[in-house]
Amino acid sequence: MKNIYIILFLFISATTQSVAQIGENYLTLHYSTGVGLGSTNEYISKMSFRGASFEYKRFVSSDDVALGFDFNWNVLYEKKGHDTYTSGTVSLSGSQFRSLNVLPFMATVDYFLADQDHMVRPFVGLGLGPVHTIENVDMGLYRYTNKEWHMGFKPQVGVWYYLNETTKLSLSSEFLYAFKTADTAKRELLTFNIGFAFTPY
Amino acid sequence: MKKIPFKIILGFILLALVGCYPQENGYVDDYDLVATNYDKDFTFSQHKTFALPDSIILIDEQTTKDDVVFVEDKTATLILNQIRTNLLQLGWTEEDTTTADIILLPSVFKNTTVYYYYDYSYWGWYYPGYYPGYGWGYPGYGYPYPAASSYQTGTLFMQMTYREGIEASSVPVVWTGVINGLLNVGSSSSVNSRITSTINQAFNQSPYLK
Repeated sequence: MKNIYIILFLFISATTQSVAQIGENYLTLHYSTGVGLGSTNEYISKMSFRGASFEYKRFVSSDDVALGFDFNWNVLYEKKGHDTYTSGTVSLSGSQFRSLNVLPFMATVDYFLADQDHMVRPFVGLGLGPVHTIENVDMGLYRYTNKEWHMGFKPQVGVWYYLNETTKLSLSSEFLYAFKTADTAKRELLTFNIGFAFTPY
Repeated sequence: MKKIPFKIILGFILLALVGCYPQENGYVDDYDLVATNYDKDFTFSQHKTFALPDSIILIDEQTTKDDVVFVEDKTATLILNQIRTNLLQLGWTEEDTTTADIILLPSVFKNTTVYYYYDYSYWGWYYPGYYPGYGWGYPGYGYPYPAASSYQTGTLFMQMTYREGIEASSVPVVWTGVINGLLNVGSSSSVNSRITSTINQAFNQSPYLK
């Protein structure tokens, strides 16, 4: 856990140094909520209020197309009531505590439907890249953990609202799809994000 | 050196607040686990007489081959009676060990796990010189916080052995029920209630025993 913070800190520091020299670049920090869809919802149906995202966007074509990357972190959790799970001749009864960490690392492209002279700038975007998932199932005094890397993509829609020259209120919603792997089911997540986009200096 | 913008720090704090593994303190029976397995080639409906021992063997860290220990009578009686009740309700008949088709052998395994708290408040770290007399703190040195604790778990094994299938080198086990949970938590009536309900659960999830 500590190592992740150190890496994040170095990453943010390094990014803001370069951003300051380029100009029309934005960092976005979101508080993120999410809910699983499809088989992910069957695994954990409760909505998650634990999440954050960090995004970097650089406008490359006039001021309507931005390229960048982002990193999300959503944690889904649910206590399942007492139940019996059967596989072959084996049956297992007890309460389950399930959690799912979803961490996509994506290259992104966003298209803004209004230029920077507008107070409200809606946008649509697409991300593509690896998705790391960590699943824990606690049952009785035992824990089953499965860590996996998927490939995934996420279309998103959002809007920026002008607050001042350097800061925008950012609202967005993303649909994350992580393809199934040999050992893990596909993961689908719908997130709702609120935060700020700003030029760092 | 450039200052880190306040917004970055805010974002950093936000990420820190997220946490990665939510935890929830459950009730003690949330930690109870009941597992069953059976031999799918064995026809239980044709072998419905059983025999039970009078006592239950206890296995723990101190158990040796030459020093057999048994579960205290009160608890053993509770376990044996609950097994007996369930089998009778399933239409089985109790017989002597010399004639019964199935000999059901219960045993209890007890284990103690020691763990260390990982909570900064227990460790009492203070910068030397911050307050007079405060130096680097160590657990157990001047701070009344426990640095370690333990929990005790118990596992009840219920194994059905098929008497006619016994050979010199092997005993066929046609059904196994395993119950695992915390031991030294709650009153004795609470523990007894959990024993009763988990034994019932083991038989409820084994409908093929009918």
